[in-house]
Amino acid sequence: MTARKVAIMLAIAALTGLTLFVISLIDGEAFGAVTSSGSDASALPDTLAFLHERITVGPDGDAVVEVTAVLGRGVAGDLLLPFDFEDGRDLAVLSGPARFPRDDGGAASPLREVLGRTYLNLETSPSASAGDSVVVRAAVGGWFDRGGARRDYGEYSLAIGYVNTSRFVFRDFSLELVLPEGLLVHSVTDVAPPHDPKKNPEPPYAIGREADHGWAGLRLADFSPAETCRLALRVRPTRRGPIPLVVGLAAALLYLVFFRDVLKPEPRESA
Amino acid sequence: MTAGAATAHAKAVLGRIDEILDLSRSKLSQVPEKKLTPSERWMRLLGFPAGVLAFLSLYYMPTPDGLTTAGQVVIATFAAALVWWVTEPIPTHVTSLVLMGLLVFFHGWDETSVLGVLGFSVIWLNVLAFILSSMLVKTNLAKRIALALMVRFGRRSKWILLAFFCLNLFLAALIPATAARAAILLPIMIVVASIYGASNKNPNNFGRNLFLQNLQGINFCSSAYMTGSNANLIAVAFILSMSGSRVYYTDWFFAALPVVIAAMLISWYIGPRFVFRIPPEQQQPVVEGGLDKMKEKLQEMGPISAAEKRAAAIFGLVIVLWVTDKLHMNALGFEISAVMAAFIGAVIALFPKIGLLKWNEADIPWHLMLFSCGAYAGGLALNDTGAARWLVGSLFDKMNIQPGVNFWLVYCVIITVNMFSHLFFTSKTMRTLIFIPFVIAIAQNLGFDPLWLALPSAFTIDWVIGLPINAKPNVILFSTGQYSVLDNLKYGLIMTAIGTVLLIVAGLTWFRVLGITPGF
Repeated sequence: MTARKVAIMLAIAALTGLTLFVISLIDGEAFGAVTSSGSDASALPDTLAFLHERITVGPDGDAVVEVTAVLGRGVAGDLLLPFDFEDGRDLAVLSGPARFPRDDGGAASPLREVLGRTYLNLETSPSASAGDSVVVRAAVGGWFDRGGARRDYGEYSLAIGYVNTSRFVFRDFSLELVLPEGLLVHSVTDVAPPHDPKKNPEPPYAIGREADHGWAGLRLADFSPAETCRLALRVRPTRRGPIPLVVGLAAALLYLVFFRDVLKPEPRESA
Repeated sequence: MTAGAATAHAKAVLGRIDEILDLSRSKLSQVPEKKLTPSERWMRLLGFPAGVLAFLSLYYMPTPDGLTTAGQVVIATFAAALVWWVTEPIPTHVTSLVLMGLLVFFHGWDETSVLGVLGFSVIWLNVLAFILSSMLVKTNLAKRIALALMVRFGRRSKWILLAFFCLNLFLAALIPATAARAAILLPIMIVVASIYGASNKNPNNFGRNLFLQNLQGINFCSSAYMTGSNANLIAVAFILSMSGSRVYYTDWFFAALPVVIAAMLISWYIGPRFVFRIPPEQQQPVVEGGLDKMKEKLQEMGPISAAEKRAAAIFGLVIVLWVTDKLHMNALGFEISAVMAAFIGAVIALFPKIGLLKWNEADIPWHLMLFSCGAYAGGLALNDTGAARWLVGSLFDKMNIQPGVNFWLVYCVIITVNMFSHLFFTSKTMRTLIFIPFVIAIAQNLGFDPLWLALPSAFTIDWVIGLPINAKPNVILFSTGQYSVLDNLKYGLIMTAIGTVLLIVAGLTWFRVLGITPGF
C-alpha cells in the first residue's frame, strides 16, 4: 500500500517536472527576448541614453509616430522597443545604425509581438555604439478615434501613455503628442506618475502651441523597466464661438442702463 | 471742522456704554448698506462693464504658448472677479458666485471641484471661528477682555492700536494658524471698535485702522517666525532641498523680526495720520463718561461669571490645542489640526446643557463663506490649470535676466515681484510652491548663492495684506463690514510698498551682517 502511494507521488512529481520543461521550451525564446540583455549578464542595467516618441496627428485623425532612440550601454544586437501601435504601417528606419531584421522569406519584419505586446523589432549594426541615434517612423491610421477620443461639449478626451516593457532603463524619456491644426490643449486631467509640487516643483509634463497646433509632452528621467507613464488631456478647438461676446457686451450695456441710478446721491445726502 | 464743532459733534455721537456694547445690534450675518462717495459710485457703475471687458479680452485673445485653454478661462474669470471685488458693482459674495459659475460654464474648472470648495477646511475654520466668537460675545467675556484692554491702553486710540500690534506679535509666536489668531482677536476688536464709535452700519477711520492694522499684524507678524505659517516651512524645505542651505529658526528670527517690527511701527504711525486720518473726535472712546465710565462698567460686571468661566475654559481648550499642535503626535498618538481643534470647541459650545450657545445665537456671516468659496475656487483653479505657474514663469521670462547682471538689481526686482504678487493669489502655500523654486532656479542660473534671494523672498510670503481674498484672516476681518475692499487695497498697497523698501534696505544692511545677502 505504501509502495503504491510512493509510486503515485513520484509519477506526479515527474509529470510536473515534464510540464515545466515543456513550458520553458515553448516560452523560453520569447521570455528571453524581452528579459535577457543579449550581452553578458551584468550588475549594471542596459540603457538607452534617450528615447523620444512623438505622435503627430493629422487633420484626418491619422498619426505619424516617430521614435528616436539614442543608444546607451548594452545595446548590441536585438533592440526591442515597446511600440503601442500594432497596426502601424509604412515603418521605416529614417536614420541610425539599425535595421529591421528579415524573416525567412527575406521580408523586413518591423514589428514583433511578445507576450501580447507589440515591439519595434530592430537590430543594431555591429558598428553601433553608445551615443548613436536611431530614428524610426510609422504611420498609424485613425489614431484620433483609436485613442478613445470622445466629443464632450466641444472638447475631446485624449490620453497618451507608455509602458516600459523593454529591458532598458531610459535615462531620458519623453512622449509628445502634436495635435491636429485647430486644436489646443484645454486641460491636463491626469498624469502618471503623479506630480507632487512639494517634492519636485517642476511638473513632468509641458504643454505648448506652435502656430495653430497644440502639443503636450511628458518627460521623465531614468524610466525603468516595468514603469508606466500616462498623460490624459482634454483638447478643444482654437476658435471660440461668438455667444460669450454677445452676451457679455449685452450684459455690460444693460447694467449701464438699469443701474445708472447708482450715481444718484442717497436721499439722506440730498436732503 | 473747527475745534468747537468737533467737540460738539463728539458730544452728539457720545453714546451710552450699554448701547455701545450691545453687539446684537450689528450682527455680522447681516450685510450692511454702505454709504458711497461720488467716486465710489462711478467705480460701481463702470466696474461691471470693466470686468466684462477684462473677461472678454482675455478669453478671446490667442492662447499663449505654454498655457492651457482652461488656464486662459481661469485667468479671464479671475481678472473679471478682481475688478468686481474692488469696484463692487455687485456685492462681493455675488461676484464670487458669478466667478464660480463662469468657471464651470466655460470649463475652466470642473463642477465637482468648484462646488467642493464649500467643504474645504478653510471654510469650516471660518464657520467654527464665528461660532466660538459668538460664544465669547454672548457670555460677555469678549466685552470684559475688551474693557480691560481699554481701561489699560484706551485713553488714546494710538495706544490701543499699538497694543493690538504687540498682541499679534506675541500670538504669532504661539499660534501658527493665522485664521485662529483672527478668531481670537475678532470679538475683542468688535467691542473696542464699538467703544470708538465704529460699527458695520457706521464705519469710521478708527475702525478702518483697527481692523486693517490687525489684518496686517496677523499676517506679517507670521513672517517674524519660521514656524509662523506652514508656507514658511515649505519655503525653508525648498531652500534646503534645492540649494542645500539649511535655515535655522534663529537665522529666520533674527533676520525677519527687525523688518516686522519696523513695518509694524511704520503702519501704526502712518495709518491714523495719513492713510485713514483719525479725526480728534474718534481718537477717544465715544462713551458718555469716557474712560471712567468704562472702569465703572468693568467693576459693575463684577467677578467673572460662571458662563464666562465656561466660555474661557472652552476657548482656552481650543487655544491650548492650537498652541500645542506639534506635540499632539507624541502626546496623543494623533494630531489635532487647527480646524478640528475649533471643531471640538464649537461642538462643546453648541452642546445642550454643557455648552453656552444655541444655534440661532451663532452669528455666522454665510455671505462671507460664499465670498471665500469664490476666492478659493478662483485661486485653486489658477493653480490646478497651471495658469498661476505660467503667469509667474512668463513674468520672469519677460524680465530676461541674464548672467552678469548686478545682484542688487535682481534682488530688488525679485523682492518687489514677490511682494506684490500676493494680490493675485488666495493661498500662501500656493504662492510659495510656485515662487520659491523659480527664485532658486534664477539664482542658480545667474551664479548667485540661492540663499541670497530665496530667504528674503521667503520673508515676503506672509505679506498677504492687499485684498480680502488674499488670506483666511482677511476674509474673517472683512466680515465685520468695517472697511471696504478699496480701503483694504489702499492701505495694503501702501504697506506692501513700504515692506518692499524695508526688505531691500534690510538686504543692503542687516541681512549682509547676518550673511544672508553677499557681504561687504
